[in-house]
Amino acid sequence: MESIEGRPRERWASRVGLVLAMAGNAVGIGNFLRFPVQAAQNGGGTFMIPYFVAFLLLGVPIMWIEWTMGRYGGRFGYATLPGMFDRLTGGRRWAKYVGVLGVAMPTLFFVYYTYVVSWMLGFSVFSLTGGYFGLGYDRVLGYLYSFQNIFDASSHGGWVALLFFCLTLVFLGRVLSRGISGGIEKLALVGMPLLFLFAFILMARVLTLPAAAATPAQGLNFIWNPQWSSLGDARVWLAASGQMFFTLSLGLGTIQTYASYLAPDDDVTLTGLSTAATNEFAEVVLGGTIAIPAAVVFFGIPKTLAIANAGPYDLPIAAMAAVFSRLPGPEMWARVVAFLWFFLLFIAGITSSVALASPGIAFLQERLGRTRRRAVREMMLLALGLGLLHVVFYRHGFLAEWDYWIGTFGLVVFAAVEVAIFVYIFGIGRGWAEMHRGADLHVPAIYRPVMKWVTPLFLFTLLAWWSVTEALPTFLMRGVADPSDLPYRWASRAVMIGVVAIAALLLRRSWATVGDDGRSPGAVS
Amino acid sequence: MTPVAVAFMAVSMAAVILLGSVCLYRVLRSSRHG
Repeated sequence: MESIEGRPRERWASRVGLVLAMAGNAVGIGNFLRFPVQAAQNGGGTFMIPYFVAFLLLGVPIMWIEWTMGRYGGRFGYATLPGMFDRLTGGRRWAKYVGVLGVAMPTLFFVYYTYVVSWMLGFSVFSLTGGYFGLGYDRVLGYLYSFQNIFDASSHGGWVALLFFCLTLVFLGRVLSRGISGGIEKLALVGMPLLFLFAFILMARVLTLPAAAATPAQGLNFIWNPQWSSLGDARVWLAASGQMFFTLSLGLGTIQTYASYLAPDDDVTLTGLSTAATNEFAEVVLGGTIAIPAAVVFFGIPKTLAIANAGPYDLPIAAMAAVFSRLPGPEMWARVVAFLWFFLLFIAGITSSVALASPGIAFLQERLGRTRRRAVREMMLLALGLGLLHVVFYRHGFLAEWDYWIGTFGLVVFAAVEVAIFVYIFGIGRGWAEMHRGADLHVPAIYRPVMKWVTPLFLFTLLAWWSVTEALPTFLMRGVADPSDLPYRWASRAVMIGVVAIAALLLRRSWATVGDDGRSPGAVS
Repeated sequence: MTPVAVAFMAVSMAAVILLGSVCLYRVLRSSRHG
């Protein structure tokens, strides 16, 4: 298959590889951590009612829209959203600049997410060497904070976090350089089965733990025991809706880039639903059965809740390290189990990282005519340069700013833009027909009005609620405890805006010189 | 675990396993025919 320029485009080599790569994009660290905490804090078992409603009315429709957009753009040689939005809107001038967010956001996300993923690699190694074994929870927490803060040499030299970050980037660079089928797909074909294997072993170990502060059954009860009154609480419904974005990686532009490497008549409905189902399995079945039950067994419910609320990485890293280092039986087995946990999170992370890097790499190819190898090299150098800011200024909330504005609020904003363009500008009729091109699954007709009315209404309600209750106070930095962090947080925002502005300028320049006919100037290979 | 918690867990897990199995079956079937 060739793009409209007559140059060959890369394609996925197999459907199973595509499903696993897309599932790898969706299954991330959050599946194993965010979901059980959200469920426990928002009604327990009853959380699943709004969760499944959000899955059917928000997650699945947006996922199908993104797949369809991506395949449609790929037909014209585009792998990124500026070109796709330009096509979908019939060449409206503003559309391609809005699409720049679909390149800048995943790129920024890639930078800080990969830094977090590199911590998992670090703790995989520390597990095998027994670096934190024999320490109680409080000292393991200090061990983690020393790792995260390069100026705290109490447990680690300042270079250690940087070393693991560089190693992770080098690994990702090698995978991404090999292309779609030779790199990303092969990583998914090896990584995803390994992830599921590790998760099953961990699940079996956690469910057979001897009772300590609680039993494993009490841990599961903590997550699943229903609180019926929560069903009348709007915050619970919005929490379930928000979870859908994180878990399915919606509103980022990564699904579109992956889907652009489909052939024009490849199915998107059944394949897309299959990736969503794989993600749900990883989240509901595996995610809910490992970390929280294990923490409840060792710490009891009140302390587990306190740890989960203290910091986003305290529970998955420090608490789980403390739990696994105290497993009954030989220490070597405990080290292996701890390694399985952190390496599982590392695999979940890198399969998402390669997806997050893909729109930026494709943009460099598409707009600047770079070869894939050169584009990957430039992306890794950019990640190293910007990532150093996180390495150095992490303790001042530099990463937390990006995580909120890109990884939380930005997803919903951008998904709303995508849906509006697809449904109201491209048109639901054309969109529906495009979605069913080569489809192996005919989407129930009810989804047509759902996509046109229910999903946008759901989205804009979520957006309005979050804007008032969270985004505005966060923007005004009302929750920042230490005033000395404020300049760093503003600088963090300035860097984000700067990256978006540079991407827009690159687009403007390349569009004016080679792409003003609406066609991609470079090969997307 | 309370019986209601067990029921919620079982139904939720069964739902995602069923969805995944049906999708996997249809993907494999269509791949074979395709």
